[in-house]
Amino acid sequence: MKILIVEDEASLREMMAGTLRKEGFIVETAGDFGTAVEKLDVYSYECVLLDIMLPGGSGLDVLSHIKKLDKKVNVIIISAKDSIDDKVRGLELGADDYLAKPFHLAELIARIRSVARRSQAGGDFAFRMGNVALEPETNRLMVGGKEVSLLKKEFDILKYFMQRPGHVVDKAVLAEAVWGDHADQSDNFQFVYAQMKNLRRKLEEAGADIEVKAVYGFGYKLVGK
Amino acid sequence: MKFIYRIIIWLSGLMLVFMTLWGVFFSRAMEEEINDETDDMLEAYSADIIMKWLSGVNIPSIDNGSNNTYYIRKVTPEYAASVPSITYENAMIYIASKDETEAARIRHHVFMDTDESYYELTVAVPTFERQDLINAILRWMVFLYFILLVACIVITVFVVNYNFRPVKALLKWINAYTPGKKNPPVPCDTTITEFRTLARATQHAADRFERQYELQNQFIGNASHELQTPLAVCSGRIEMLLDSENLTGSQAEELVKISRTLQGMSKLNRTLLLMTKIDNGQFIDKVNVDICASVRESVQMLMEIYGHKGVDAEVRAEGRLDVLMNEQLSSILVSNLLKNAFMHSAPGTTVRVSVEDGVLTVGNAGEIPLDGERIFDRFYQGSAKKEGSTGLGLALVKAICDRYSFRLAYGYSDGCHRFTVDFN
Repeated sequence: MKILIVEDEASLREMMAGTLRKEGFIVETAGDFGTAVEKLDVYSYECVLLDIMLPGGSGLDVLSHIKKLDKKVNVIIISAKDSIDDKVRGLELGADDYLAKPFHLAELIARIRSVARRSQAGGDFAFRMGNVALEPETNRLMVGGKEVSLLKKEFDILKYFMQRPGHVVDKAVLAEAVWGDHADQSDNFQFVYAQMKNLRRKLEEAGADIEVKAVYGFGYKLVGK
Repeated sequence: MKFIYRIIIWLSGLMLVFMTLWGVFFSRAMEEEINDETDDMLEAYSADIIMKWLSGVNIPSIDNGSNNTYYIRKVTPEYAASVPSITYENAMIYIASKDETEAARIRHHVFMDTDESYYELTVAVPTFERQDLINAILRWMVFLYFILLVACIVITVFVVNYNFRPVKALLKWINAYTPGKKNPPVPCDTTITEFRTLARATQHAADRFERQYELQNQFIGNASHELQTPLAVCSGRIEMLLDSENLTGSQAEELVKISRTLQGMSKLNRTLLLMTKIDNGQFIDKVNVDICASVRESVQMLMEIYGHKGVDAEVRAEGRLDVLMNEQLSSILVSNLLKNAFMHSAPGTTVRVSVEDGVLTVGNAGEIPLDGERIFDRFYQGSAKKEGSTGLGLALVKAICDRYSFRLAYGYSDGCHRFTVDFN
C-alpha cells in the first residue's frame, strides 16, 4: 500500500515514515502545502496522512484538492488541534478518519489498516490472524470457524491487539484504550490482568493459534504460536 | 454600609451639633431681647417714681397690684459714690401680695434728693423664668431638629437615589460581568461628568482585562498545541524502541516509565486545552443527557478498576435526570467527580453516590477535611498528591459547572468528603 505523509515537522515525518516502512508500506512524504499538492497531482496513493497546519496552506485545502482530483484516496487527518470543529469539518470534507496528536504509532498503523479495510470491496471487515477472525461490526469472535463468546471487555482487549499484531502494548495504554479516561491515574493494573487471564484462557480453550504474551512485566504483545 | 446610610448618619450628627449651637445662641438672644424690653419698662417706671418723689407728689403705695414692686431707702454718700448710679440684676423676689417668690428683673437707681441726701430706688418687675425659657426653647429645638432631620433625609434619599441611578446601573453591570463571556458595554446614560469618567474608566479596565484574558487563554491553547507534536515524536520514538528485538528487560522498563510520564504530560496538555475550550465556550451543541445513566455507567467502569483495591460503591441513581448540556462535558463532569472519589478512597471504604431532586452527591471517606476554598483550583492537590494525577480533574469539573451555572459545592462531615452538583 502506498502512503503519502503530509507533515511539516521533519522529525515526526521521518519517524512516521520509518515506522510505516517497517510495517511494509510504501511511503512518500511532503513537508508543505505545495509539495503535497504537487505529489498528489502526479502520483496516486491509497492513503494520505494529513496534518492540518501546514506551511503554505491548510491541510483542509489539501483535502478539498484531493476530493476534486476524484481519485480514490483514503485520508486520515492528523492534527494537534483536537477540536470537534476541525474533526467535523475534516470528516465533512471527506476525510476517512481523524487522529489527534500526540498519538501512538501503533494506533496510527491500526487506523491505516482499518481505513484500508473499510474501503476494500467485498465487505469483509474482520480482523484476521492465524485461525482467529474478529468481526467488530457484529461483535463476534471466530476461532477455527467456531464462534467463541467473549465478555465486552475481553472482546475490546482482543480487538485492540488484533489491530496491532506484534507490537508491545503498555498495560497503562491498554487500560486507557479499553476503560477510557476512568482508568488513568490508576496505579494498580490488577483489573487488566483479570480480564487478560480470562481472555487467554478462552483463546487457549478454543484452540486459537495466537496468544497474548506478557512482555517485560509491564505490557503485552499479540503473537502467533 | 450603604452610601445612603452613611449620609443619614452624617446628616443626623452634623445637624445635632448645628442645632445645639443654634439653640444656645437663640436662647441667649431671646433672653437679651426680653431683658432689654423689661429694662426699658423699668427705666420708665423708675423715672416716673423719682420724678414724683422729687416733686413731692404722693407716690403710689408700695404694691399697687401690678406685681411691680419698688422701695426707696436712704443711703450714705459713700455708698452712693461706691456703686454705679444704675444697676440691673436678675433675682428671685418675694411678692407679698401673692405670697410667693418669683423671678424678677431688678433695677437699682441711686439718686440725690433736693436736700442733697442720697436715696436708692429699687424697682422690680416679675419676668420670665430662665429655666422655663431654656426648657421651652430646648423642646422646640428638639422638635425642629426631628422635623428638619426627617425632611432632610427624605429629600436627600430621593435626590441621591435619583442621581445615583447611573452608578447603580454601573454596579449592576460590574456584578453581572463575567470574564471571557459576551458582556454588554458599560452603561453610560448620564450627563454627570464624574459618572461619565467612571463609566469610561470601567470600560477601559474591562477592555484591557478582556484582552488579557483572551491572550492568556490563547497562550495556554497555543502552548498546548505546540507541545503536541514534540510529544508525539517522543512517544513515537519510544514505541519504536520498545518494538526492537535487542532490548533488555530493564531497558524496556525504563522506556515504559518514560513513556508513561509522556502520557501524563500529554494528558495534562489535553486537559489544559479542554479547559481553554470550555472557557471559550467552544462546546455549543447541547442534548438531553441522562445523568443517572451516566453515573451508573461510570460507577460500573470504576468498580471494575478499583474493585481490586477493595473499594466498594453504593449507588442511588434510579430513574432519569435529564440535563440539557454538551454530552462530552457531561461525561467528563460525572466521571471526574466519581474517579476522584474512587481514587482517594482507602481500601475497605465505600463510595456513596446519589442523584436526588436534581442534585448529584458523591461522598467518600476521608480523615481530614480538604481546603474547600482551593480544592477546585487548577493544580491544587493538597496533601493528597498522587503520582500521575494532573491536578486538573476537579478544576475541570468546576469549569464545566461554571459554564452551565450548576452549583458545585464541597462539604465535610462525619469523616466523609461530599461533593454536590446542583443541576437545577
